[in-house]
Amino acid sequence: MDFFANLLTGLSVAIEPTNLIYCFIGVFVGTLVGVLPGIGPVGAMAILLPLTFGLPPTTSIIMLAGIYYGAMYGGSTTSILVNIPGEAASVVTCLDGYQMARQGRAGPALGISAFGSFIAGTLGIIGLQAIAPPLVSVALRFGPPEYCSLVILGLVVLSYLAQKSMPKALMMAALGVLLGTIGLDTMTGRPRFAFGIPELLDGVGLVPLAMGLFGISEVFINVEQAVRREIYDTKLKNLLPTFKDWMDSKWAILRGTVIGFFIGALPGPGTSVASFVSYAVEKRVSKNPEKFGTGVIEGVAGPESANNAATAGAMVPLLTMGIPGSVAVAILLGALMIHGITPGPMLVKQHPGLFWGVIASMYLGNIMLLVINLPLIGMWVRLLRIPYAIFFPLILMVCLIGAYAFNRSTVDVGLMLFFGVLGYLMRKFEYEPAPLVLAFVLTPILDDALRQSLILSGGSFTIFVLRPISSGCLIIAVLLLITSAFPYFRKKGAKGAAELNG
Amino acid sequence: MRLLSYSKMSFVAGFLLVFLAPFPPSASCQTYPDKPINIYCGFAAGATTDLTARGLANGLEKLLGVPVVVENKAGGGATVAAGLVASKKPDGYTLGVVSTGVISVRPHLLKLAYDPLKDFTLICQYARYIGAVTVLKDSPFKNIEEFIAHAKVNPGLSYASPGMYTQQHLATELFRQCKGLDFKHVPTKGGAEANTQLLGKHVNFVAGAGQHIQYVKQGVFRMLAVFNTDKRDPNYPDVPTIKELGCQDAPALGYIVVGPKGLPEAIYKKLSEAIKKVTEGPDFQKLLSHLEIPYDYKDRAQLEKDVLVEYEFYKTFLEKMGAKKE
Repeated sequence: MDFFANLLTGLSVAIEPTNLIYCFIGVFVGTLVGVLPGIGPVGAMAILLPLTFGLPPTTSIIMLAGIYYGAMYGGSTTSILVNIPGEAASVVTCLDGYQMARQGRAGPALGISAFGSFIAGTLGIIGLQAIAPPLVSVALRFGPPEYCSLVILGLVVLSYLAQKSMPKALMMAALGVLLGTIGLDTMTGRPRFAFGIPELLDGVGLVPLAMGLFGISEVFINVEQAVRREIYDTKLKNLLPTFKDWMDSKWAILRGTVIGFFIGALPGPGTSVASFVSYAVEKRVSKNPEKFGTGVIEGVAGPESANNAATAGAMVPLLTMGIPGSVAVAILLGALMIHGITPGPMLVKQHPGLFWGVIASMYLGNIMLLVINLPLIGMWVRLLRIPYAIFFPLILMVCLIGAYAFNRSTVDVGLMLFFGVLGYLMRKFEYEPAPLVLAFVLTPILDDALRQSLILSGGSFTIFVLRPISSGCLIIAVLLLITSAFPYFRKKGAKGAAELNG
Repeated sequence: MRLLSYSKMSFVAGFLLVFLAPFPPSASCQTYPDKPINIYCGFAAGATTDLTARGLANGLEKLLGVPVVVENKAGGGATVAAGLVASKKPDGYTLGVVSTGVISVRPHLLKLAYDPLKDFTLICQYARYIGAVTVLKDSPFKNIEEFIAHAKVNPGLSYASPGMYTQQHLATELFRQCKGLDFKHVPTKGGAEANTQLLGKHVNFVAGAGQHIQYVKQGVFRMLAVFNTDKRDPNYPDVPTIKELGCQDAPALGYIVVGPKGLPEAIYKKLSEAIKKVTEGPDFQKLLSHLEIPYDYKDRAQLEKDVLVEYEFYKTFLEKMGAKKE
């Protein structure tokens, strides 16, 4: 069968000692940059890119891809331990992962994210190997109107992220939309709301925003209540997920894998959106949606699986069409172009060793990542025993360095502190940060896609209804709105009836 | 089997040093360079400009014996990076790899933190951007004449460009005016997104910015006419230039290396010689040919002259288009 023949071709390339070593370097560096807030996979890949000038192209891509998917393993660590996302795709893991850590279940949370990542990563690669070519033709059908409708669907799904008050969640989403419009406007080439600050021309960075809203605000909150600290050291339960944890998260992992893979394959949205959507879906299908945000393991397993599957998905348009869906993938594309290799429809035929070798190395890399990450769990969990008086200043310092290092910009540090204070106030008044962050991520896509669509249609909104994928997304969005409104009205009705009777 | 070589290790170590330690006090011209050199690249990692900047840094590192670190500061058509360079000390340790557009185009559109004609030491240009009217291979137009004939009877063909007021957009706009055509312009965030829109058949053609060549090589795209250039592309001798069609072309922008104004002559000399040597070298030439970017070296004097011409051209042209500075 072709599948196995190709896999064998690939494996024979991937297990060459040089390739194995560079694969290991890649996933190891990936884990590190994933753990460190601020330094993301993009930075690490860009720094190591010149190193690949002297390497064979296959080896280069094996290493750089290792950093890319390796970072998704490490990214969850700080989210879970200290509520600071290691990279953008792990923002949503903070919601339940950190609550699990507070309940002494940091070990299972880290464990399920490592296993979930492994399972999703591996299944994602199988998907990449099996259905890459047909998937690309579907992904290419996503033009501006499709993206626009997809994002509208995403914003509707966002309402499921609300844990307490829906109006408050919508207010935060609106704030996220506003923040997302800052920067150079693609359509007119003019700055919007940048207040003459050159750093804002590129928009507000997701790193300072997420680190401030989640991490810094967490430090502030904890400083308030530092005296009461029985949470961590009393009950450090088992380090690995229990049988019950597995039962709870098995479907979340599988759903996360499918969601992540397909969203990853679309050029544009990327890994962070995949993890958000997975979380929202888990909350939607859960029997106990109200428990989300209090430390349910599905809330960790789903998104962490999704962001790993998304990295495999993102390789689909790259390897088959030469389309980079994100900056990280653009670096992979660059690494190929440097060697005079053009990714595209002819790549599999012209360079079968490279194509299948990279895919096979991803199987091996995922095994290495599991081996690297499982023993680390014990070490990470022990970190939580460090007294608050030392731990929190340390977190603050790591955040400050991270925010600065990402762009080496003091404006980013200022922004992060601003969002830290904002996040602190939001928590005090029970506004949730997650809808804000998701709306912030989606807004630039929505903004461009909406206006590009209207240029294409000459100003007519029918373009969103007449194109099948677009109208499909809109129909699902409307259905979701109706079904979510039903229980609300029923409750209101019941309450009203009770009041009448009472 | 190759592991990390010593120089690569020192590069990584140097990078970490830059990351964690503040710079020591600046050294004198005689010992230059004796600490890491920082190059701000005006475009995202993985973009063609970035790839050449990294190739340049790699060569300079070997030649000068200090780490040369490329840092990406994308945004505002490379004006963010240019502004940063302008704000630094002219000690030769901060350079920028940007497009000449930060001097000749963007200042007419944006309020900038720098004075385009005064705040830089232009060091040299090593390549130029070349664009093309590009369609899908399976489109019915075999050449630009067929395309123009079709566009005349079918007003409202759509095209994607790498952004509003980019040289690709402006060149296409000139072409449109010159032939009396009507296009819908869809600005995108960059060359990659623009190409994807054509691949998905969401637009009729793309104003290619460089990366489109990769698809032409693969037999997915076809170039109909090249712009931002006086000469035909030697790799595609059948594709005419916009000028041959009797239209005005937007002048080609260049990949340039700049430093802050007032760079000491000795440092300038050392740097420009090193850059010339690297860019003429076989490694860099191979890189350019793989990327199909035309090598076009201009020294400081030539560059200063040409950039002024560009500046005036875009000033008049953008005013005529009604683009106001904001």
